[in-house]
Amino acid sequence: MLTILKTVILAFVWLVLPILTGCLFGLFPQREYRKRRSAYLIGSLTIWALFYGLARIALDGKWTLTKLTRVFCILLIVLTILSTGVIIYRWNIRALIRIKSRANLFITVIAALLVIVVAGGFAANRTEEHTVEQVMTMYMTDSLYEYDAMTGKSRADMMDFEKETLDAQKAAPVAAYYAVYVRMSNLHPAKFVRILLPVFLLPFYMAVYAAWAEYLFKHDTKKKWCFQIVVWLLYAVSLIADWSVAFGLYQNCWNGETLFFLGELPLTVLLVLGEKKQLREIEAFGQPYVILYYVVSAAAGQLLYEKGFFFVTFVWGAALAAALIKRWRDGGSLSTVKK
Amino acid sequence: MEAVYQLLKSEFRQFGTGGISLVLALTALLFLMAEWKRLSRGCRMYTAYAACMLVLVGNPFGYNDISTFWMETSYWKMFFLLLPAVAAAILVTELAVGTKHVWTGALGVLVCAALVAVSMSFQFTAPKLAVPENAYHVEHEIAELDDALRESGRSIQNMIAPRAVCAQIRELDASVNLLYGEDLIERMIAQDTVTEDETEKQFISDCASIVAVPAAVDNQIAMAEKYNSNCVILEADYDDQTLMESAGYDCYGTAGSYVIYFRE
Repeated sequence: MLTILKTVILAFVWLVLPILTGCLFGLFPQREYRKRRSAYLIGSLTIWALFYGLARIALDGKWTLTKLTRVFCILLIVLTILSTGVIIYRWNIRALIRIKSRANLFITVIAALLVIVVAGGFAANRTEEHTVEQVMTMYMTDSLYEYDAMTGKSRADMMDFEKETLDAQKAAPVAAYYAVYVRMSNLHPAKFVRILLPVFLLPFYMAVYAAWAEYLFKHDTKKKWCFQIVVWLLYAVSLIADWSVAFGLYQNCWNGETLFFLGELPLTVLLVLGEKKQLREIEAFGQPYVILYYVVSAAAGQLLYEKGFFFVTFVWGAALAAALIKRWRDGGSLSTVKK
Repeated sequence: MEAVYQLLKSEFRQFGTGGISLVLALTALLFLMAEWKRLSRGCRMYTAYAACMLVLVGNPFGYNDISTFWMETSYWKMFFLLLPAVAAAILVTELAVGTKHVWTGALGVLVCAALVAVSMSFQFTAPKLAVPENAYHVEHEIAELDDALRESGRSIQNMIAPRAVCAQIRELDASVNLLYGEDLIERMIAQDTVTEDETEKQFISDCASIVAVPAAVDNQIAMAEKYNSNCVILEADYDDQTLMESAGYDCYGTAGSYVIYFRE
């Protein structure tokens, strides 16, 4: 009974709270992406980004896992209260929970179940993937990146190259993010990572590619569905090809690198491209919501992958350069605002 | 220039070793460029973005700057910026749905499937699907070994064990202390550990000797002595109880195909 309650709370934090948090972006008057799915995606990025900021403080201050968990729980409660308040005042709750097409919902649920069953039930355990060990070590020692997850050696007993590996893991503390949830729920790390995380994370991937389908084929439902089916079949190729952590969506969707390259990076590109018919104008990059998109995507990227911040900044930098070139080509001064 | 071209080529090849081939993604991109006028606004924007990223990332100057400073050994991951799955999926979707007749659509899908197969044929291996043996998704034998180690009630230091054990035992019990972990084994195989320290070099070489020759029980005893290990796990096939006992180890028992030895 207690396990079910814990799972329900975890499901709220992973699946509902991102939607509520994404609704906070509704405070910006000109913002794009006003759909429920967009709120979920941007909300997820925001929670990851907030955790990354908190984790940096925790790592610098040598906090224990328990202390980090307590502070993060407070943050989640504040987010819940704040976003619920914003929804009540600024959003139409009926619009938020309204189901437009029951058929679409039914197909989506069936597809999600199918993907989750393949990923959670049949994808073989890859011994090259070390998230479980990292989470387990932090949970058992109540520390953050103080012990080598693969051997159990403390920092004092480690050789230099082992310390370098640990520091590299510290740079992208995604395992600490999972460890916080394990500490919250006291579930076994292996069960949490291998059974619950696919259930919580695969909807994120599905939402990302559904958003891409929407962006690419706005009014063509047939193409939208076809696109999503093909994407998931393409990722299934890794089930019969040589394993690579970056492509292992079915095998290890929780891995930071996989989540970054196959989930967060496509979402970042979508945020960069924007919803309008043309490239973003140079003025758009000064809008508070666009700056916030960059900040949350860069911080979330860094949480997931060691070079995540660089990748995200590269994409946003390229878009900014393209906007500058466009303005120059159009013959306007860079400081001139188009009417 | 020639050297950079060769390096770019190898990075390009490395990209597709475990997933969607970059050749397939670029074929799709070429298709999208050729069909530019017939594409929807979103597809056009994506094509422009991917072409821009390809130019930015896949040029000799980009290679020199990005690989040496930012991405070090994993420059090939920069090609993820092209979002290969999106490119390939647009191509298949356009071919399958954009035709007037069902049979031409089916033909389009077949051509795409052939393209996927051809672009990745040299990398296909056995399917990686398996029904999990338990809720932890850890091999049953390792779970059995873990139970035995817990039952013994001993504090395990610098345990020497076969690779399969090192890779999974700490997913179940973080109190087990290993001499070397799976990540070090992977690095030993990839030979990408750069160290100038003689002690570290010796340590890596010693661990390599244990992993490479699991049948050499005498070597494992010597290494256990050198690194003060109080637990050695041997595969039953290579077990040599007489030798282990003569070295001061007591056989605690067996778990699956592993034999457990302890020393006080």
